[in-house]
Amino acid sequence: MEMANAVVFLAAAILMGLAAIGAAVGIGNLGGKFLEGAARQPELVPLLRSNFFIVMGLVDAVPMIGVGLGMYLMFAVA
Amino acid sequence: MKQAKKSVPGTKFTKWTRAKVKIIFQIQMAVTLVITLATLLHSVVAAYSALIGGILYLLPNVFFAWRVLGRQSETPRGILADMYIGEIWKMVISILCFAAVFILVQPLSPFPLFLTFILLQILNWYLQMKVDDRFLKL
Repeated sequence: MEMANAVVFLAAAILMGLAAIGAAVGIGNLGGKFLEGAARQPELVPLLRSNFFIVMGLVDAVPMIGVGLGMYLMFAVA
Repeated sequence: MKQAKKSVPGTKFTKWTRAKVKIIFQIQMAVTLVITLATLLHSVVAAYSALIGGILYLLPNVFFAWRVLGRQSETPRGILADMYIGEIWKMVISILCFAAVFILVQPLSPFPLFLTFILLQILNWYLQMKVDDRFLKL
């Protein structure tokens, strides 16, 4: 039984960890490109900000689902 | 000073995004209510699980939108800081809400909860593109 619980916790950790890595790479790239765009064309900063906000929502959707499923595994299944 | 004045017309993008995000949240709330009512025909547990799924999605996202779009940072550095800090808070709120729901709400039906949660995420992708396709023309 303890082994089964340990496997569930491990699965949750892998699920949330990989999702976090993906989100970190995606949002890091996004922030870098935003700064690059802002440095090239400062007059477009408000437009870039709006698009940054939108794409941020797209990037972090899958990690959020991962967090939800991971929490479910940890608190409800294990 | 000149740069700050130059960026003032740009606030229309922030207003435009704010209006668009408001519409998207309203649609998502309506979808949550529809799913809740539909699952109410099945069982009460499924209905409140679906409602909780919708709230778990909406609460962190509304906070993030309020945190990011409610501020008027003009410099790219300030905007980036707002976004990242808002994102961190969004994650923290999500984790706390999920943990609280799974610990405190018993009995809970996971299928309607995750169905609503994932559906709202997908709806967000779709609506961002559909409400205004300016984003696709960039």
